Amino acid sequence: MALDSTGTFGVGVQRNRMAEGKLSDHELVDATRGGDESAFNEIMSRYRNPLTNYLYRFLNDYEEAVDLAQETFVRVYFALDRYHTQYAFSTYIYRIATNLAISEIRRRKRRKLLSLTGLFQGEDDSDVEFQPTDGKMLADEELVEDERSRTIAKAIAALPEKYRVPVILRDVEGKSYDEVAEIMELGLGTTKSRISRGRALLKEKLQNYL
Amino acid sequence: MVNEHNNLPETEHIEVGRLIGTLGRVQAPKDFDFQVRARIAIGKPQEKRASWFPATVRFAAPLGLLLAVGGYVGYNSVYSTDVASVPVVAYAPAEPGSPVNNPVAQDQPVVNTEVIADQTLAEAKPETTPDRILKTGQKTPAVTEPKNEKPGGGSYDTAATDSKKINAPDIDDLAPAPKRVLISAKDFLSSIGVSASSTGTGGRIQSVGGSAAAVGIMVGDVIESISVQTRTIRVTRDGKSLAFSIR
Repeated sequence: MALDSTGTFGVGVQRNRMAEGKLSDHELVDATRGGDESAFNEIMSRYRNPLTNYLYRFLNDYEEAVDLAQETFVRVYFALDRYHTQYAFSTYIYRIATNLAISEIRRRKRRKLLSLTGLFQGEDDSDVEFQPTDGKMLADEELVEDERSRTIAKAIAALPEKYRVPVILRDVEGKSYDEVAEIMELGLGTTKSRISRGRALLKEKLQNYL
Repeated sequence: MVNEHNNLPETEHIEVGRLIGTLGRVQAPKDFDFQVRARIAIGKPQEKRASWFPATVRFAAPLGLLLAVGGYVGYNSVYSTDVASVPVVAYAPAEPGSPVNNPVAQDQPVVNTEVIADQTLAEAKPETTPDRILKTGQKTPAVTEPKNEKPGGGSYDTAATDSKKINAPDIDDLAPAPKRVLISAKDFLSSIGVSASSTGTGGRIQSVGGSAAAVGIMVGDVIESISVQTRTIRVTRDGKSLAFSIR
């Protein structure tokens, strides 16, 4: 095997595979540990959007969600040496994000801070759904969809933590029951029970849309 | 099919899940990676801690209260004006035939005239004692004034301002003023050569000399009561109550 430009065997081949998106999460972690910063960039590109979306649905606050998603990657970066590959990397990073989000929720409750998002709430006290601006007017149908999305998001955000996390992971992020159970460090039965209970609570609030 | 966990039909669960799944997905901002890199460049994140202020208040407020109460109690115990817990101030009129000057009277039983140190002013009932013994306790703010039958009445304020100087009660205004002897417990003890300190239940004798030593009073005795009138002092020694007449 020929030496690449950095004098390390196999790095060039690894970069090619990375460019093709073939490297597994564990391989990217190993590469990052070895000092390959582009491997960590690849990790971020894979998880930044799912994590941001997950945290947004959890917190119902886009700015906070982005902040915590970034914080998640920073913590992962500095804790890579302690990461064990016995767990799926996605489980690992979602668990960190979940813990950060739960801490944030509890901090909010403790401090009882006034939420600045309240300034942007409408008269019906409904939260403003984050919508990337696209510069075009919304059609009536889109307005209805927007109203429904806001209602659903508000209902999810109102769920107790222990139901909110599994419901979002399962129904928003599309994780399997096993993955949800691993992220929450719960048994499979308990996880399914919480998802069912969370859905039942949502059903009561979203009766009009079912 | 029925869900095993809450008896909700599985189809409804699927509907709820599908409804949630229709939510749009938000994207990370374009500078997301840059921001993460910037944070990494700053260094390892510190655990977010609650502000020091609430924790300080949480511990400082009770501590301050404790110190204030402790300081108040400590100050009062250290700088107490008590000389001894013998709250007796006696008035002994120096009249002919009075027990003070009558050796025969001194031989009378002490019990009849002694005043218990811990008694309150009300309990002492000075009006009923034959020799007009008045007393005031350390914690008694005032000494009784004689009932003033004149219109307009009097005030207890004068007594409250100086509890150790007691006006002789029931003195006939027309009669010549008798020679009055004002003796406090402290003065009496000093006069017989006794110094005592407060023990809470009485005065523990610290030193003895003079006539007190002559009659057998010893250091360590705890004063129960003093009768200035009969010049008698009752003490507790080794659990026994002893009475001494000072000559």
